[in-house]
Amino acid sequence: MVVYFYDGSLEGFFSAIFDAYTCKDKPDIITVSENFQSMIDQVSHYVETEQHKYERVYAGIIDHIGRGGYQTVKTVFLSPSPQRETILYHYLEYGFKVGSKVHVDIAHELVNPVMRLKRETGMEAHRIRMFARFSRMDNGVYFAKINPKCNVLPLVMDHFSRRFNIQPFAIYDEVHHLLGLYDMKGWHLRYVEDDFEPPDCDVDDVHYQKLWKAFYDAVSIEERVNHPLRRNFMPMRFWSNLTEMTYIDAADTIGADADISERSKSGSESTPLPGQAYTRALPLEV
Amino acid sequence: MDLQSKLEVLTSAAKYDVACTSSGVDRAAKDGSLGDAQSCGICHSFSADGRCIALLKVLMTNECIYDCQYCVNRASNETTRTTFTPQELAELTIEFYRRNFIEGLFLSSGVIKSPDYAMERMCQAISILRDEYRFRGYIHAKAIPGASTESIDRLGLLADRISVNIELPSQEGLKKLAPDKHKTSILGPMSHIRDGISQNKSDLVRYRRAPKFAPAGQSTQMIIGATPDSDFQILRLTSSLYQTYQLKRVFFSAYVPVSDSALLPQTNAVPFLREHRLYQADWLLRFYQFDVDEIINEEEPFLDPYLDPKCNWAMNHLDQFPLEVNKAEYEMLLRVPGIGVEGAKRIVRARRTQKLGFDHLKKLRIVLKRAQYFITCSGSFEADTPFARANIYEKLTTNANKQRGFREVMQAQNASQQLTLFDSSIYLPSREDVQKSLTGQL
Ligand code: SF4
Repeated sequence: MVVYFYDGSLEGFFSAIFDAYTCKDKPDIITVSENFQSMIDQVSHYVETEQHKYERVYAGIIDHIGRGGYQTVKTVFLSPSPQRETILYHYLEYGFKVGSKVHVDIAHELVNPVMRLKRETGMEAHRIRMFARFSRMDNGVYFAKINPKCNVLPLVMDHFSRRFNIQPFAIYDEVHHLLGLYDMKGWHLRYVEDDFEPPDCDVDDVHYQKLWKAFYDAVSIEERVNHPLRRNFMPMRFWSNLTEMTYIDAADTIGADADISERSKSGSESTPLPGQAYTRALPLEV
Repeated sequence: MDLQSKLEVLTSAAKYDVACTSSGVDRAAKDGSLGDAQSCGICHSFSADGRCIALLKVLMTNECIYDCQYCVNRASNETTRTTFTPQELAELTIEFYRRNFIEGLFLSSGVIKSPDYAMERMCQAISILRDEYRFRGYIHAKAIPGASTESIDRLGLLADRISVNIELPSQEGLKKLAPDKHKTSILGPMSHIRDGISQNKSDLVRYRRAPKFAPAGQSTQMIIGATPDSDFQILRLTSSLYQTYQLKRVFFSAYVPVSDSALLPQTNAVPFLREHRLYQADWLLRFYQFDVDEIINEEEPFLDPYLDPKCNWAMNHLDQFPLEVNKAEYEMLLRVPGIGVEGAKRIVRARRTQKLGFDHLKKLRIVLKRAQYFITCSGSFEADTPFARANIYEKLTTNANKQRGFREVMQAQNASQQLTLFDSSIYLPSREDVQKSLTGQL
């Protein structure tokens, strides 16, 4: 059993592919050392990450499989699957052999797993485009916290920096400890410490969070409440970062304002609608 | 009234309008301007009823001089009335957009003072968004029946999509329930919008910089179950709206009782299943190359509650099945129950390089639950029952039964519902069905 270890970067992974073609031992598994349980009959090969290897493999992919192939590899590389490198290796090996045919051969046993991971990662990126919620901080920067399964920040920064080009923003991926920053000129990514503390939002922002929550509650049609359907489209693992699912009106809990306590009496407190009871109880679950 | 209360009132008053999508137009971002629009549309949240929230869906005002019986905002209904100022609404849209809450605005309005006056207020709000804030996100605006062609033109140049709601599928219905609206006050603006769009297209060919008129097209909505109109009438009308008025979408909204007017059906039943079947039929019209006559006819003017319209068609044309997936034309693959547009395309693509078996179909994510009864792979038929009408019918209708968990939820949700037409709630749409009719993979 030949196992290749590399440093976890795309450059490192391409270097591993390079080695697979130049060393005599072809890998059975390519992986990052931390997540690997060693085996008895294991032959280890430690890949050295080198720019020239990366470039050779990059050029090879463009030549044989095309831009689309490169995009696929880049996307799948962000998947959390521990087999992603090995799966990609087989895909590339096959792609180098048959060329652009890999793009139609989607039911093939070496291509199909790649398509599956690509779809998953693409879907996750799309969900972040849907569910990222920004709040405005005192310094005028818009800040969002996200918790995607796949490491999709690199896939969504273009989208947000085009759409929000007039406002500086930061997106913090609390799962992968990655921070995406946009400063109105361009964007870049930075790894941050595990104990990174997201900043506080502006007082003004609370006002808009409250309005958004009010809108969210008012737009639903009571006769049609359907929690399974909602969970299906908006999985609960995202709720912890959704303003509309976590926002709790301070005045609601204190009941200071006569007007507001009146409202909560008639609406949510005496006979809570299923939806309300649900969302209130759940704000912090992932 | 403070902004939050206004927002609550004007959202509740708008929530029954379902013709709300953010799709159909691509407008790239531009340096120095906020926002862009993507033709696929992006949902940002899902409300407790499971519907997508893509746009800030509100009314400009819920004041209304008309008295449509089915509507919460009708003049004779006693309710709190309020109106956004154009500035307020524009700001709210921008602030929500900046936080990635929404894709844009869906603006409708009660008829305050007169149709043109109401349209003018809407135009003001939208032009603040477009001109002052240079907002490039999506805007869908409702044209008000009876509005002048001038104000429709103005709205069309500001919004991505404009639409006029038909609301009731027949003239008698309108006369009875919406006495202030006439067929002409609805269809007039509709054809004016259609002509505006096509005129604009030829202008754009000649000068690229001609301002765009409702580039995402127009849509409409019909209320289901407030009048005795049959599915046959509704679908005939739907199909002719697509053909004659080139609508992008026709939406159906199950009538939720909001009025105790003696003119309306006095029941708590909300015809969800009927609405659902109509949507399925609508998908068949738009994406599956079905003619309306293939889906429904005058002799049986209501869609089958037990079988979705695609299964129904297939059961009536069993002589054309089972279909060999390795050979069948794309158009026929589309007609197999359970194979959607994407699925059919994947099959056509994958069979170019190899002969497909059932394993391959699974890899291509073709759901075989229903499809298995209608296809063969390389000659083999692998359904869990022989290919005979009675057997397949039995399987198809009991499969729908199996979705127990979901069914119970649906029952709880519709506790008050008495399905008069379909006396058993067993045949509520399954969870999968609901999703499918939302994504269109039938
Ligand atoms: S005109 Fe519109 S808002 Fe006014 S009552 Fe009729 S449907 Fe309702």
